[in-house]
Amino acid sequence: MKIISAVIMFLIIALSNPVSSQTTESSDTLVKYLTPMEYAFMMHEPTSWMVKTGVLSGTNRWGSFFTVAYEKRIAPSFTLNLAADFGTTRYKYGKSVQLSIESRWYYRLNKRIREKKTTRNMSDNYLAIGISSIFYFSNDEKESNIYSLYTKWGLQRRFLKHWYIDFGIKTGLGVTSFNNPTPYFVFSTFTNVGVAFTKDKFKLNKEKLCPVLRCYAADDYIFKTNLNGVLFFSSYYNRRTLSVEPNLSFEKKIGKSPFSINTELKAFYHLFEFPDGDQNITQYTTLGANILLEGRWYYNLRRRILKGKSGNGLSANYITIGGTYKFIHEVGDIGLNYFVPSVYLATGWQRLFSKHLYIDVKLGIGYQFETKYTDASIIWPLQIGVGYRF
Amino acid sequence: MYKLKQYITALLIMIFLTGLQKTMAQVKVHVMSRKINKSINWKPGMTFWLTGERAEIFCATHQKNTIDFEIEIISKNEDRKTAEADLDKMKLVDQVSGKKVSLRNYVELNRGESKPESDLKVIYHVKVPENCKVFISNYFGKTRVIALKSSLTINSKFSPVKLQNIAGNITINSNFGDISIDSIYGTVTLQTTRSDISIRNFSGLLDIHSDYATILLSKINNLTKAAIHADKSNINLNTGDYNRYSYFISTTDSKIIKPDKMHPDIFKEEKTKTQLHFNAKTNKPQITIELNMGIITIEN
Repeated sequence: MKIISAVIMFLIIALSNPVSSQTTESSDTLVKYLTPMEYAFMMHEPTSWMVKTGVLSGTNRWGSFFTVAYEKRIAPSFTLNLAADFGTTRYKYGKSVQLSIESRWYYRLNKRIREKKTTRNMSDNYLAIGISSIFYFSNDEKESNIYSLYTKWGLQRRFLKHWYIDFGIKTGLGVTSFNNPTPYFVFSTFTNVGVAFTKDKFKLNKEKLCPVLRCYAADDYIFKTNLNGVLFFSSYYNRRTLSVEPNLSFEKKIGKSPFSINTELKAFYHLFEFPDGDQNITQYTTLGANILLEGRWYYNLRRRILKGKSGNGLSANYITIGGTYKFIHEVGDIGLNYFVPSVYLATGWQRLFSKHLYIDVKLGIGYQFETKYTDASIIWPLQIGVGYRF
Repeated sequence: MYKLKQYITALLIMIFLTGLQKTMAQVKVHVMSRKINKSINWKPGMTFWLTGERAEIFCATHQKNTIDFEIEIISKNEDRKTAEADLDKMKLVDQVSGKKVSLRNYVELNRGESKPESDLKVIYHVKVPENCKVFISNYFGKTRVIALKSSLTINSKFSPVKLQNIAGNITINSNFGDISIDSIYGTVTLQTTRSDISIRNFSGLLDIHSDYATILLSKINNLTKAAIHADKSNINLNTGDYNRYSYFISTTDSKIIKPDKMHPDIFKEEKTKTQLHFNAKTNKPQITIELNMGIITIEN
């Protein structure tokens, strides 16, 4: 409790220092030179507040989450970030919401502003300290409502005005509940991608962005690997989660048409340790591979070419029909082996940036076929691909 | 005399050799070209958007209800194969989406391809119905529009713009591209940087915001209202009869040259600032000028 009180005091002190933030913000609009990439990261825009909404993976819980956040500058290099993450955890704990408040210190900002490399924005690296609380909606184990004090090292970047990405590592101390407080250690990775809104001074110059958007490039194929979710590790109290999911995709354009074939091969290893009712630790380990094959139609590619935002490549919005074939091996005494096929229809947003970056966000609806060990079900495939292409 | 003959002979030999050298230095340039013709049906309300790069755009009107374009892509290089390959890198794309007809040329590079080395140029001959709204963007080229009677918007960089016989709303944003306008009736808004402006035979409303320009207004007989905001520019007004208009001029670090017969209502000079009002209390069409660092010349 003392630690939490100290954090609250720290936040109050930071909040009570608005004067210095005002004086500094007025003088840092001049930037000597920005690379096209820095320009795409909106480093020319002074930002005093930002509303963010997006999808989150990581942070204590392993699953898919939708997040809403508000970040406000409270001192020249400090901001306050209030966030609520809603979603479904994989395996045992079901739906949950995490509320958090953290103070971020953009530790490079002052130096970079002095060197006229950036403005006072929120598109930079930061260290954060904060408190959070997770509430599970459908859970008998009240203990798993978690209160934690954490620190983060993150890289947040706004890009192309309305987008942002925030990824890094998080570590801290937590208690399972205030009724029976038991301290434990928390460590996890996180990735947060979504849309951001703020008031900008300048209109983005499309021509300056051409090297970033590669508006002249007509890639007829790309290899890509999604770095989001490649490694996730979380440890708290007597629960541990480890997930390793290396993957490689290959996408080939069909002639000069807006259609393509996308394939992905992903291997995975999941380890999940949790206490059962008798306080024994149960270990659940699976490993396997997933093959994905889908056809994509980039429906707005022509419009993007006409606007000078893209060449005739693979950087546009799309609709896709595809299927996956997953092999799962459950490690244990029984050692089950089985295949799970599924089909889906989805819509997505793929953008190729610079020479080696890409973002591919996909959401859809699908059907998972019945197997010997799994029931048939409706699935909601969601992919947040942020990674490297070559 | 003998020496003079020797000098003349030596001089002739030198001239001959220089000419020979020039002749030998001439290089054969291969010119490759591709022509595209297309016609799109036009209905009232449809707009035409053209985005050109290194393009010479000639836009005129015709009596048909179609948007017709004839496009020639030209590639010049000493090496025939390079000229051919670079010609393929210049792409054209068009689309009809709802009430918007779009056309664009751009350089496209496939994986592993290098930037074009040839001198690439695209020439557009576009014909639109008189009432078709036209939006043109052009970089490193030329734009010429004739006899349009609707609305015209031009965004131009490093490209001169020439307009003739136009009526309607005209908006031009230009950087490093001179603007020449002749016989215009309508509302004209110009936003320019380092672009000289010449306007002749103008009727209607005029609004100019310019930096580093020479602005020449001549034969402006039926001006309704004009506002010129300029920085580091020279402005020359040749209205035919200066007394036809009322003037509200304020300048900083500038010089005003006016006809001797012109006796302003107000003429104040304070340090670097000068204010001139002429025919201020009349209902004559207004010419308002704000100039920072430059010269204003009002001719008879």
